[in-house]
Amino acid sequence: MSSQPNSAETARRNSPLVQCVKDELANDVIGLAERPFLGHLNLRGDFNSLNPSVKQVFGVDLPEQANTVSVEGAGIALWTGPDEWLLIHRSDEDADRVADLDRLTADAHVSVVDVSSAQTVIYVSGTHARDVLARGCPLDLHSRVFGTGQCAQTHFGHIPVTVWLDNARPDPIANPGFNVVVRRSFADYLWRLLDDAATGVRAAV
Amino acid sequence: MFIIDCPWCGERDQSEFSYGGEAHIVRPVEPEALSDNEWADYLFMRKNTKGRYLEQWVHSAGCRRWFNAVRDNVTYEISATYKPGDSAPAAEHAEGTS
Amino acid sequence: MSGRRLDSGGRIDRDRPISFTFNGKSLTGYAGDTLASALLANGVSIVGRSFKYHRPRGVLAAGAEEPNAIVQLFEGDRTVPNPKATQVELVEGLVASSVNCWPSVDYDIGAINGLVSKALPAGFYYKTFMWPRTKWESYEKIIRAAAGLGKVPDQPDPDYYEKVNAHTDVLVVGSGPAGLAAALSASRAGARVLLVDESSEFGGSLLGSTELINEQPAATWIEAAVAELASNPDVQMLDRTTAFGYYDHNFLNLAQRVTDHLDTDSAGSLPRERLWRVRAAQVVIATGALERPLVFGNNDRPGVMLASAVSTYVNRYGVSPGSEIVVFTNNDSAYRVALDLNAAGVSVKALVDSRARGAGAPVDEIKAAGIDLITSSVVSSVRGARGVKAVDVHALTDDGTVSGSARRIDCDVVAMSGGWSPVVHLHAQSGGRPRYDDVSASFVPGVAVQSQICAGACNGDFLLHECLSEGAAAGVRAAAASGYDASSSVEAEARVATNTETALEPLWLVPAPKEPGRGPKQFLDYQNDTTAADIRLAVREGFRSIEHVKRYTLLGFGTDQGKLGNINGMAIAAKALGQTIEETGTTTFRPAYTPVTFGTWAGRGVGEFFDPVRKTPMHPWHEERGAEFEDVGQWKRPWFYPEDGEDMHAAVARECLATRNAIGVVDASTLGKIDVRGRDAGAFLDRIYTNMFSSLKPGHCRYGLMLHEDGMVMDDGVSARIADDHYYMTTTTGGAAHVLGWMEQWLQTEWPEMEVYLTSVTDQWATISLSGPKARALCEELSEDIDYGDDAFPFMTFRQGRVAGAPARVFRISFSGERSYEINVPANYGLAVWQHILDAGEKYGITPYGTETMHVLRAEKGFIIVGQDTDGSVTPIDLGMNWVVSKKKDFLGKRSLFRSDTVREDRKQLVGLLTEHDHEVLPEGAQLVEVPSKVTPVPMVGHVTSSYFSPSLNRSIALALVKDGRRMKGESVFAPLIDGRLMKATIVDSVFYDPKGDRQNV
Repeated sequence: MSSQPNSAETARRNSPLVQCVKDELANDVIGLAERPFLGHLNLRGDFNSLNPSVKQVFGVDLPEQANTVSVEGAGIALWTGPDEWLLIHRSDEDADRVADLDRLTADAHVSVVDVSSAQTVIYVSGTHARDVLARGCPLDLHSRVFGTGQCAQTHFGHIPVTVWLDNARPDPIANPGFNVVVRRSFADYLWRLLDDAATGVRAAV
Repeated sequence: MFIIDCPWCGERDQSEFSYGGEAHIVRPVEPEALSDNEWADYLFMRKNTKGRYLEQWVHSAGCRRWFNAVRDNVTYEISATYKPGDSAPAAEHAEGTS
Repeated sequence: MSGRRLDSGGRIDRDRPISFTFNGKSLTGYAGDTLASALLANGVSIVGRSFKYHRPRGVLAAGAEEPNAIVQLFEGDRTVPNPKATQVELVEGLVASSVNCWPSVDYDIGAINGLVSKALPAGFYYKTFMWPRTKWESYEKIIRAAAGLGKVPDQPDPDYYEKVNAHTDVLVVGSGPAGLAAALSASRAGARVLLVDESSEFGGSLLGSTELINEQPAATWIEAAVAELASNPDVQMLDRTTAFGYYDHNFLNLAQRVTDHLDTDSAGSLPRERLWRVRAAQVVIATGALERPLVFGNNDRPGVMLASAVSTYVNRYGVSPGSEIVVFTNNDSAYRVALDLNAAGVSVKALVDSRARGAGAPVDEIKAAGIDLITSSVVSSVRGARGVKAVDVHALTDDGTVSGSARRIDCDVVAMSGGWSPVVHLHAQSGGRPRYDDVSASFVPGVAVQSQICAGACNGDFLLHECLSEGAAAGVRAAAASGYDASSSVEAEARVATNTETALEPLWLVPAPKEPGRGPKQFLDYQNDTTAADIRLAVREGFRSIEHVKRYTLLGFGTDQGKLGNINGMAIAAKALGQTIEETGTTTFRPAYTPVTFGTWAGRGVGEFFDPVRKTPMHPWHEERGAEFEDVGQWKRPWFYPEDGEDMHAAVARECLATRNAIGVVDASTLGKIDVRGRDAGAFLDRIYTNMFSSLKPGHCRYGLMLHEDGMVMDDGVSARIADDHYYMTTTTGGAAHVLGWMEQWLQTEWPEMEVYLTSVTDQWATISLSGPKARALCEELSEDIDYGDDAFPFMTFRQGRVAGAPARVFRISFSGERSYEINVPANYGLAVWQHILDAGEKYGITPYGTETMHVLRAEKGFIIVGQDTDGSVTPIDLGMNWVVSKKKDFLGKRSLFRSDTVREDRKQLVGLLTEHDHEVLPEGAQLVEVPSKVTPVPMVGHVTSSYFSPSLNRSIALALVKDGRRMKGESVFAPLIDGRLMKATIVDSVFYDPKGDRQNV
C-alpha cells in the first residue's frame, strides 16, 4: 500500500483538451487555445438572493441584463437565463470560495453547482476569428451587433456553446478574441471542428 | 428557417430552438377522477387549426426557457411570443383563420 | 452554322490562350471565355442531343437558362454531371463531353425516337408501359437506361465543401445596372451590404451591352462602381455565387463556386464550393430578365439562338455564332442586337418583325445600316436538319394567320426575341405571387410578403435608365428600412439615354401553314422536347390545371426548370382552355434556382464530422488499451477490450468471468446526471418518478422509473439524496438530455410554484464502477476517509470522501448483481483516478470491461435497458415492475396505467427465454411464434429484446416481450430465422443468475 497515494495527496488533473491543444496554431490571423482549469459555477436563483453573496466572495456583480457579461474582481459573470448565471473564476481547485458562497446562500432558494470539470473554454482569436465562428455559429458577430460586454448561448455546428468577447484585447473590432464555453465531452469534437473551419479561412486569407 | 423572438434573449435563429406542440394544455389536477375519454382528450387531442396557432417553443441552445408563440402556420409569420403563465395576445382574427 | 472568333472586341484576354477538350477533340479558347463561347468560336455547332427525340442541339442562350448545352464536366473523381456550358468558365486542360447521346453526339442511336416521334406524344410512357401493370418494372429498367443526362461520379469526392453563416443589412442579388446602383446607394447610407452575382464578373447585362453611361462605355462605370464597393469594409461582394433559395424570414441560401475556375496551385486548400446561409434585413432582388424564345417550326435547330445571347457572344466574348444572321422579333430589343452585329461586321440578312409598324426610332438606324426590315411577318420554320440553312418567312394576315407562299432566306443563325421574362423566381420562392402584366406581356413580382424590393428588369422595367434609377432608389429604401439614415445618401451618377420603346405584341405561338402537330415541331421546352402540340393534346385530354399540364407534358421539368419556355406553354394552354394567362397562372417556383451539388449541401458534415462525438475523460486510456468502441447516442463507449488474438466472444467471456470472480471496472461516465435542489425537490421527484423519493433518507439511493404521460416507460436510473433539499439523479446515457428537458418543461410551464432548480452535471463527474467480490478490498486501499464496512456503508447508500486523492462521491449500487461501488470524481481527475485504480487493482486481477459485458451481466440479472427491452409501448406492469409503482401518490403517466388498453392481461410482457440447445443464441429482434406453422401469415406473439451467451451460466439467455408471457411460463415458443432455421425456446423467469441477490454481500 505504500506505493498508493493517500487521501492527503492530490490526484493529477487533465483538462478536456490537454491532449490536443496546438500552440503553433496561434497567430494574428487565427488563434485557437484552451483556457484550462478555470473555475466554473452554475448559479440559479433570483438576483437579490445571489448577488450580494457573489459580490462579497468574487467581487463581481451579476449582470441583470440578458445576454451581457460582467468582468470584475475575481470573477466573470455571464447572464445565461432569467434566473441563471455562469460564474467563471480563477481555478477549479478554489474550493474555499465555493464553500464560502455555499455558506452565504445556504438559507436562500438558490442553487450553486460546481461545473469546473464539466466544461472548458476555447479561445478563438485573431483578425479572422469571426470568419471561423461564422462556419458553425448562427449569431451575427459583427462588431456593430456583438461587442464587448455581450454574451450569448448558441451553437457551433451541433454543439451548444456560450460565447463572449474578450474585453481585454487592444482592438476587439479588428482583432477580436472570443471565449467559447463548451461541455467537456464535446470539447475534442468542437476543437477539431474549429481547427477544420480555420483551414478554409486561412486558405481564403 | 425562422427568426424567433425569445422573450428573454431576443431574436435568434430557429436552429437554437425546439418545438413543443400546442400551448395552453393544462394538466388535470385530479387525473384519477377522469374517465378514459377525458384523460385521452388531455393526452392525445390537439387542435391542428389552420392559420393562427398558439404553440410552445423552448430556447434549447440558448437560455433553455420555455415560452409560447403565436404563429400563423400558413404564412409562418410569428406575430408574438410570450412567457408561460401569460395569456395569449388578443387575436385580430378568431383563432384558426389567417 | 459556323461560329468564329472576331478579330477584335470582347472581354476575353487574347494573350492567354487556353487548351481544352470537348468530346475528345482538342480545342483552344481564351481566358474569359465560357465553355459555350469557346465552342462557338471553334465552330462547334452540335453540343448535345435532346432528351426524348435525341435531336441535335446547339447553344441557345448565354446564361443559367441554357437548356441544350449541358455537359459532363471534368473526369474521374471530380466529374460533375449537367452543368451548363454557358456557365462553365474555361480553364486550362478542361475536359467536357456531351450528355444523353450514344455512341456520339454526331451519330446518336436514340435519334430513332425522332423518326417515330408521331408515336411518342405526351404521356406516351404512362399510357403504354403501365399495362399490364405487373410488367412496369421490366419496362422501367429499359426506359431508365435510355433516359438520363450526365453520370454521377463513381469515386469518392477528393474536394471539400463548406458552409458559412452570414448576416447583412442589405443583400443585393444581381450586379447588373439595378444591382450595382442599389449596392452603391445602400452602402453610401452606411448599411452593411452583401452583393452577389452568379457570373465571373460584376456588371450583369452591361457586360454584353454597347450602351453608354455618362457618355462612356458601360464597362467604365462598372469599374468605378466595383472599386468603390470593394473599398468599403462593410460591403462584401461574391462573384460566381448563385442565390438559389429564398426561404422564411429573409433567410437565403447562396452557392459559391470557389475553385472550378482555378488551376490546382491557385486552388490550394480552398473548398471547391461554399454554401452561404444568409439572414438579410432587406433583400434587393435585381435578377434581371431572361429573353423568351419564339415558338416556330424546327426552332430547336442548332443556330437558332436568343437574340440577346447572340449579342452577348459578340460583345462580351468576341465570338460570332454564325456568318449570316436573321433576326426575328416581336419587340424593340432585338433591333439593338441587329445593329450591334452589323457594327461588329457580322452580316444581318434580315430583321423579321411580327408587328405591323416595327419599332419606333431604331427603324431608321436599321434602314441606314442597310438591313432588310420585314414587318408584319414571321419566321414560320427553319430548314436544315443538323443546323440552320435557311428560314421560311411568311407574311401575317389581318387575322393573325399566315397565308401564301414563303420567302426563303438563306442564313446560319436565327436570333429570336419573343420579349422578356423577369426573373421572379426569388420573389416567388419568398411567398410572393407573380402577377401578369399586360404591357410587358410577362409575369412581374406581386406584393412582397417578406422584406424585399425588386428593382429593374426583374420588375418588368427593362430599359437601362429605369434599371439604374430603380436600383438606386431600392438601395436607399432598403438601407432606410434596416435602420440607416439614408436621407443624405448620394445616388451614383449614371446618365444614360432615356429612350422609349414601342410596345411589344405578344406572339406565343407563331402561326404556321399547317396545324400544330402536322408541320415541323414547335418546341417549348428544349430539354424535355415538349412541343406546342403536346400542350394542346394535354388540354384536349382534359387537363385543366397548369400544374397538371406541366406534369403530363414535362414542361419545365428539366435542369433549366422551364426558365425559357414555360411562359409560352402557359399562354398556349390558356388559349386552348379559352381563358386568360392570368387565370391560368404560373406553376410553382421552388428552390433551387439552378442545381446545387450534393457536396455543397453536405458541407463539412461528412466523415469525422458527420455527427458530434462525445468522449469521456478516460477516453485516451481506452484508446491506448486497444478498446473496440461502440456508439451509444453520440458517445464513444468502450465495447470490449480484446487481448491478443481474442474475438469479441472470447473477450466478453473473459471480462464477465473476471467480474463475477474477482473485480471488473467499467467507465460509466456517460450516464446522465442531474443536480436537483430546492425545498420542493423531493415532492417534485415524487411527481416525476413512479415511486417515492420524498421518503428517501439523506445518504441513501433508490432506483426510479419515469413514464411519459401515456404510461409508457421513458427512462430509469438511481438517484441519491445528498441532503434534505438536494438530490443527485442519474439517467440513462441516451436519455440524459431528454429527461432534463422534460423536467424543466414541467417546472417552467406547469409547476412554476415549486422551488426546484435543475443543473446538468453529466460532464462534471467521471464515473468509475467497480464490481466483483474483491471490489471492497480495493476500495479500502483507495480511501482513508471512507469506511467500506457493510454496516457503515450498506447496499443502496452513498458516502463522500476522497478516492485516490480526488474528492469523490461513492455509491454502493449495482447493475451487475455483484458487490459494486460506483466512484464519482470531478472529471478533471477522472483519467488519473482511473489509471490509479487499474494499477492498484492489478494484484486483484482487475479487468476493464465494456458495454457488451455490462449488458451480459445485467441481462443475467434480468435488469432492463430502457430503449432495448422497452420501445415506447411498454408499461412498468408489462415489465413485471409493479414494485416500483406507488399507489400512494400521483405521478406522471399514472392515470394511463388504468386505461382499458393498459390493464389488458394479455399485453406483451417481459419474460426470459432459454433456448432448447444451450449454445444457440437467439438473434435480438427475432419474432416469436407459438406454432411452427408453414401456413402464412403465422400469428406472432412477441419478439426477442436482449440475447447473449452467458459465460457464467455457460449457456445462452434471452429477454423477450411475449403476449400474455407471464401466464405462459414453461411453454415453448419458436423463432423462425431468416436462414430458414427454427429455434425453439422455453419461457422462463427473467432473472437467470443469483435470483436471491446474495452476490451483493460476497
